[in-house]
Amino acid sequence: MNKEASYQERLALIQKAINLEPVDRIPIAILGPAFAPRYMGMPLSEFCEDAEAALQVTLEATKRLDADAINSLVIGRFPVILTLIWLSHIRVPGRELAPDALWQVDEAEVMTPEDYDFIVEHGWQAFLNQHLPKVIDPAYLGESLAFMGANASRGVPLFRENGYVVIATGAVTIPFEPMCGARSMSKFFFDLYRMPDRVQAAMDRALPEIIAGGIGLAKAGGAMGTWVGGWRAASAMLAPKLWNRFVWPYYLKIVEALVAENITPVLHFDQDWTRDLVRLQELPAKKCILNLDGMTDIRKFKQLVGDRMAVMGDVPASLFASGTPDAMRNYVRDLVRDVGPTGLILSSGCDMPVNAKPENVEAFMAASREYGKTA
Amino acid sequence: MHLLLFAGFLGSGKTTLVIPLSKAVVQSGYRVAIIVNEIGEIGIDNQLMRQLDLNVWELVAGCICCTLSGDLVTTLQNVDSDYVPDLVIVEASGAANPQSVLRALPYYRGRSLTSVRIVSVVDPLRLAMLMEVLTPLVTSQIQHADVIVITKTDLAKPEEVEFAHRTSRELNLNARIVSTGVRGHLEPTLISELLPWLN
Repeated sequence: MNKEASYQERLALIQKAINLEPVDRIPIAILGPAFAPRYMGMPLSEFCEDAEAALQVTLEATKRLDADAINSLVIGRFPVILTLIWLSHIRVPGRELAPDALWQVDEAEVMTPEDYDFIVEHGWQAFLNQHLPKVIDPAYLGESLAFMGANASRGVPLFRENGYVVIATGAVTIPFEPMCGARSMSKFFFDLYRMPDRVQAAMDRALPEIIAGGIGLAKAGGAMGTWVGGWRAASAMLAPKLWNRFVWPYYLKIVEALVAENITPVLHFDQDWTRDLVRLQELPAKKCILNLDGMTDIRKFKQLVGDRMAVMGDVPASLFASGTPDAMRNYVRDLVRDVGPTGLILSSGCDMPVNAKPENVEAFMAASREYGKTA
Repeated sequence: MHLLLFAGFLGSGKTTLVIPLSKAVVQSGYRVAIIVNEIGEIGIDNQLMRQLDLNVWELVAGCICCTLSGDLVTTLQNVDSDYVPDLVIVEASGAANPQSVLRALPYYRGRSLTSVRIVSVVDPLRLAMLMEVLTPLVTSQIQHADVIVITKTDLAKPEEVEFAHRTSRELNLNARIVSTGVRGHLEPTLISELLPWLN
């Protein structure tokens, strides 16, 4: 089968998964910014510094594993992306860290309570303009953004030429996440207690700009979808009253805005969201993909929401890093049995970790192909 | 090898307990390794521990969530093979749910774990606020504990300590609940509660 035919077949499988239609085989996606360079023998310092090399090594890893798709493709220096998500300084291999060490989120209290008022008065971008230089070198950021701007649209056709689908480009998240990173976790959570109205006013002011930015990034990347990220806002962290006020309404607005633009929201929800899975019933049916990392009860998702939403995942990082090929096979087998075959995209939960054992990754691919056949 | 996992929100006093506890164990002639996982202010507590000649390994957060449990198991195996400790103390990040950590332990392939105990460190000065905001996280940290240590009793009001004790007992019917101040040395009784195997 030629590459374009492969691409079309794979695209159809993923679209059928989203549409909850029967498939001949369950599609397989991979993810793992740090895994690709480690797997292919590239130092992480090079991966972080050379965005072109990072793109190419990600493609080569996808080809070597011969997955159907990549969950999310990052064009640009990955640590810079993390700074833009969590507004925190990132320690980078080859700069502050040893050349093959994993990047580190270096969270500290940088944003102040007065910044909530600043956001209300001046807007989100104005806040970013003054905040980002505190956590990343402006010249380095400028250079990185220039590359991203110039190359954002290259990834999807590049992968397509090689027969692979890119499910998501770009990322957007609720104001909760970057504010939590910028304030630092403990300070932010106490802000929710001590000054909830002030925080909410800033979130409400920021959201339209965040949505516009997310749509812009998604369109620039050109994939079918974009990430809608959730990490610290998980149900397992936050009291229900606060989750209902500061988390869910914002996700609802983001998803509705993306769907209106024909962009598939890939709800990349790390940690445990089991308590609030039922809220996903409020989202447009057969328009989203829920991407779980192994900590949410995926079987409960299937029971509550499986008739209206696809799921991607959810092989845990710990299984890739510390498990065995047999344990991997059993996990995939049980996942297909309980959650598939319709509406399922087999994938690592979140990233394939940097220390994923190659034999476990290869076992994941083999098991996914074997147990994913439905015809 | 014994494993002692410290859970509790940022600033609750985990490091303040881990340091003297580790020193007490070393002074008793045992080898102790400390694995620390921090989200913020990386390395500060670790530097302090190293200055006190304690053996510290860091779990680093590439992201803040999914890779951590895999890192713990890998680090535990490395610590076991490189250092062969009698006791490993894991100081989990303030956002860590002990259940998530425990879920990864079946993948551990080093020497067998003679005991695995969870210590939940509860800060009476902030517990009321934490229960309002981070109900599921704090509840889980208390519910899964074998021992609950209420810290800062020399700084907290009596009613705050009482609230911490009552809340801990309501959430965990079986754990031993002990108290300690922020200053002063670790009481031998507290050490015995945390490490019943220590002579």
